[in-house]
Amino acid sequence: MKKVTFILILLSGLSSICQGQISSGLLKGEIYQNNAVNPAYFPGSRWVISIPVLSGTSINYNNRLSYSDAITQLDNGVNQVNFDNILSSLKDNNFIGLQARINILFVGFRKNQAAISLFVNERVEADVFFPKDLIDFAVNGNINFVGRELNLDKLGGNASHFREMGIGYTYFDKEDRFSFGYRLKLLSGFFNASTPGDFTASLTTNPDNFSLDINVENAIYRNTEIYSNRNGTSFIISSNLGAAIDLGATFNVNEQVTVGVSITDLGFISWKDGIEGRQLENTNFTYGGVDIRNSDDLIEALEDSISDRFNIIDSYDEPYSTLLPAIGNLTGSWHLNENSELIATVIPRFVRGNVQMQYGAGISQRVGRNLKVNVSANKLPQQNVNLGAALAWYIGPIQIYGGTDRILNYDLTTLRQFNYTFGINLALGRGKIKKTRTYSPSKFRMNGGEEIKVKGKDKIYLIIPKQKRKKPVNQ
Amino acid sequence: MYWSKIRIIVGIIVFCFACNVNELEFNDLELQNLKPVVVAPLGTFEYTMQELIEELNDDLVEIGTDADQVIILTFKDSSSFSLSDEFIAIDDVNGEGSVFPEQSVAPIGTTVRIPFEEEFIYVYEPTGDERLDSVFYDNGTVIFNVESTCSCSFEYSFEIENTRNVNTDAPLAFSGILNFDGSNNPSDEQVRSLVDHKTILNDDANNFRSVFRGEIIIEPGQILKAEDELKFEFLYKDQDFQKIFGLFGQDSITIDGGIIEIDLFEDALSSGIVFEGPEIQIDFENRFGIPIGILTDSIYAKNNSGDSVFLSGTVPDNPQIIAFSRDDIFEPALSTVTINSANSNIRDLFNLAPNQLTFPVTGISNFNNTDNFNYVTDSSDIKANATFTLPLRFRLEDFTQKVDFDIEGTYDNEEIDSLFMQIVTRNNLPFIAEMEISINDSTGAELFKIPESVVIEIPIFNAVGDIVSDSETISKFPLGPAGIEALKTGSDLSINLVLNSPSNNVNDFFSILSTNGIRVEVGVGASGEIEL
Repeated sequence: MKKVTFILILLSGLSSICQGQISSGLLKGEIYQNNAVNPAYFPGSRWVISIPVLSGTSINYNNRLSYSDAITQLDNGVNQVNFDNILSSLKDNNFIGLQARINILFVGFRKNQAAISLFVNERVEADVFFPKDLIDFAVNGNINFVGRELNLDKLGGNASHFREMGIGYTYFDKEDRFSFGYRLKLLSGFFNASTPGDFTASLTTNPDNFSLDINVENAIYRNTEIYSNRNGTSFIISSNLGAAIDLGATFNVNEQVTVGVSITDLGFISWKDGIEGRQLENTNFTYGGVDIRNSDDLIEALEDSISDRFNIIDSYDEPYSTLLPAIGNLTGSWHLNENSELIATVIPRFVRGNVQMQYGAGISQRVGRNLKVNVSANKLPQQNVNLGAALAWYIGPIQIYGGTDRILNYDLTTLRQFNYTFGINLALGRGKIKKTRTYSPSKFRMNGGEEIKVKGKDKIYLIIPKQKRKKPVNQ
Repeated sequence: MYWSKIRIIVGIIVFCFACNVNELEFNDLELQNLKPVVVAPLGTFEYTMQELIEELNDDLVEIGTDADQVIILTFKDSSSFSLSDEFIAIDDVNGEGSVFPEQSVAPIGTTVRIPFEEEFIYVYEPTGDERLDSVFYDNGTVIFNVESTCSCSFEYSFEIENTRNVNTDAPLAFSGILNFDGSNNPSDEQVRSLVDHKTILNDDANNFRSVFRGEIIIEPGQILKAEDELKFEFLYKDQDFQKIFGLFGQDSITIDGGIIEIDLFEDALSSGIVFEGPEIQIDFENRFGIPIGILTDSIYAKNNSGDSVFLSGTVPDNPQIIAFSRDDIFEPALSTVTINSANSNIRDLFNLAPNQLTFPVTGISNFNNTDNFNYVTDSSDIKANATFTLPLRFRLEDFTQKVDFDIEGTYDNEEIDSLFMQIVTRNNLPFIAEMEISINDSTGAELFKIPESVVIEIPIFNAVGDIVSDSETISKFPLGPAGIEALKTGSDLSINLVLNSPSNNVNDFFSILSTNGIRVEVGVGASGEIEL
């Protein structure tokens, strides 16, 4: 029981956010998986083929509270879950999130200016939001809410397991000035536990007579799962269907600057099969106790008077829809040379009316022909800045990639966030994609050893500022 | 190239640096005890005068308001007095008389007739000293008997000149011929109904006149002796009167008004309340043709303790005249006697917090003038409709109300180690209130009393005395260990309200409007340590 309680507290206290990883995203088109970050990204191989399960696994986890924040060791050596510490570590609004994606299958083919792909992913998206006040109320009672509203409008969540199947298309400009892409996805939901987004609840304790103003609207818990009765068909696709679209584009502003923009997971799932829910009927009242003069049994009267205000419907089975959390991505690159670039990215995530921002900036370096690495400084919501890194490494046709947004401080007692992505792809025909873009050196070394800044490039010529005529050395 | 490799190596080292996984300990975790403080409303009790009085469910109480919305309680009762005999009673009236021929006659060959006529005066006498003018009968009879001692026949008539048929004005008369059968003296008895008859009495002396006349018929062979006589007697029997006129003099009567049960005081209001203007109004409908002086000094109030106070004062102690109708004897004369604090000690009756009001009313007929011309009819009565009005404008002097509610067995939480009560009082009664809270055991013995009492201030009045703003008092009382212990073993939580008027001037009274009341809201706060 204590473990369960602790885990619940940890999960609730650990304000976490699970979003697309920054570091691996900075690999951009180097790995196929970033086609999901921006459909305009596509690897420079003729074929990209998945190795089921191994091709891509990513988990994101981010929290505000560490083990040591929640647990303190007493003088007698006993580890104690410390609610006071937990409360002091929480912000006004918090959430738990967990996102996982496993590539089941994908095949990508690129030729000339176009690339198409087919893909199947297994995904879990879970977000639970709760205000700090809720924990405060549970731990300290309502004494801190006397004369102040305990607002639970932000309380709610959505956890889904679904499968996405789709087709992607990417177009590359012949002059390599831009690219764009989209992915059309069919979603098949297997599990959902959620509350409606328009849930509201509040409790205000009158400072004088302690009367309670209680308002509850749209308090519905919906649990949908079809694991227990799925047949062969629903093993592939369930009757809880949805659709989503990913859109993206990149622009080469000039030879040094590239901008990528995307919005992904614009879609929904309609849940109608296997729903088991409960609903608390809307109620709005001020509870002032009982009429003392006419109450023979005070406690019974109190219990009756409050319980009569709440009516729970146990058999809620109304179909409903949930939105996927949409993720935006704006990435800008400054190409230092053909192998190095500075990259900055901004990633907003839109979930249940909240916008969660994460930022990253780093350098990407290609090492030889087969290795590309990046290191970045990342700022995740409710986290301090940390270092992240990612790499993509070709060993023949095998591409190994991985990344994390946290490479410093892996002390698990103080760990507040982690994520990683890892996978192995099969890339065929890397050399058959014509590279249309070349990069100008930023400096040109004259015969005399003097370095001159390069202004631009015209075909095979470098453009440099006009130089003064120099006298021959031997004169 | 080298630089790049170095960066990779450094990254891997940092990535794996310092996990401290061994320091994560999830076994034998202990959860910190919670120490929540929870506050919640316990409830309210409210004394709104309108609701309080309506709750009495007393059919005898009518609740109203005057133009200023001051609550007025009204109790009503009625009684009647219809015993005409108390004023005038007439028993059977009788009379007798004799006629003596005073001669001897013994005729031979021819019949001798000796006429006689004699007038008789009788008294139509009531049981008292009333002087009758006339009586009209609904029912009754007159029985007339006549006989003679002579051995001869006679013819007679007997007329009562004062008793006449109301339609024909013919006097009531008896007549007949009585023949001597040779052996028995002749006699006769006749009966006349008094229906549709009246008797007009003469000479202010209740006299009435009759004439007995006739002839003695002595046939040959019969003898009339000098000592013979003709005797008669009559009797007014079973008289019921439709109307009686006359001078009835003075008589005492009692109108028994019964008892009014006043639950208001028994259930809601205890002693300590001084009403400014209680009033009793008695509306009389007098169908007797008699003015009556009413005395109300027999009215009294009695409380639960058996204490009683009789009404006294200028009005109760002195007869109040109830008029009578002179023009139409079948129409009632209306009179009102008003008893208030200006003419009586009525405040004292209500200050007693009575649960019973008993109002017998005594009266004296023709109290002020015995020369009044009186009458009674067969429908004469006096109806007394008493209305007790009690405007709720009063003073309170240590007026006490107590509310107990059962708490036995309700507090069994060992985890609560401190408790406090927060009491909000909103008062728009024009009184200062002091509230004491205690916890008692099943025998009523006090286990714990909150040391400080709550003082509830008076509302804010404007220049004309109207309440413009309620007073609100918020008080917080920690119960402490003794209080908590008392809660565990106690049986009742008792709230005692003591109300007083805000002025010491006994002549200052305060109005209670229908909306006035006092509201007490009780909140509780508890804290304790909860082991998870």
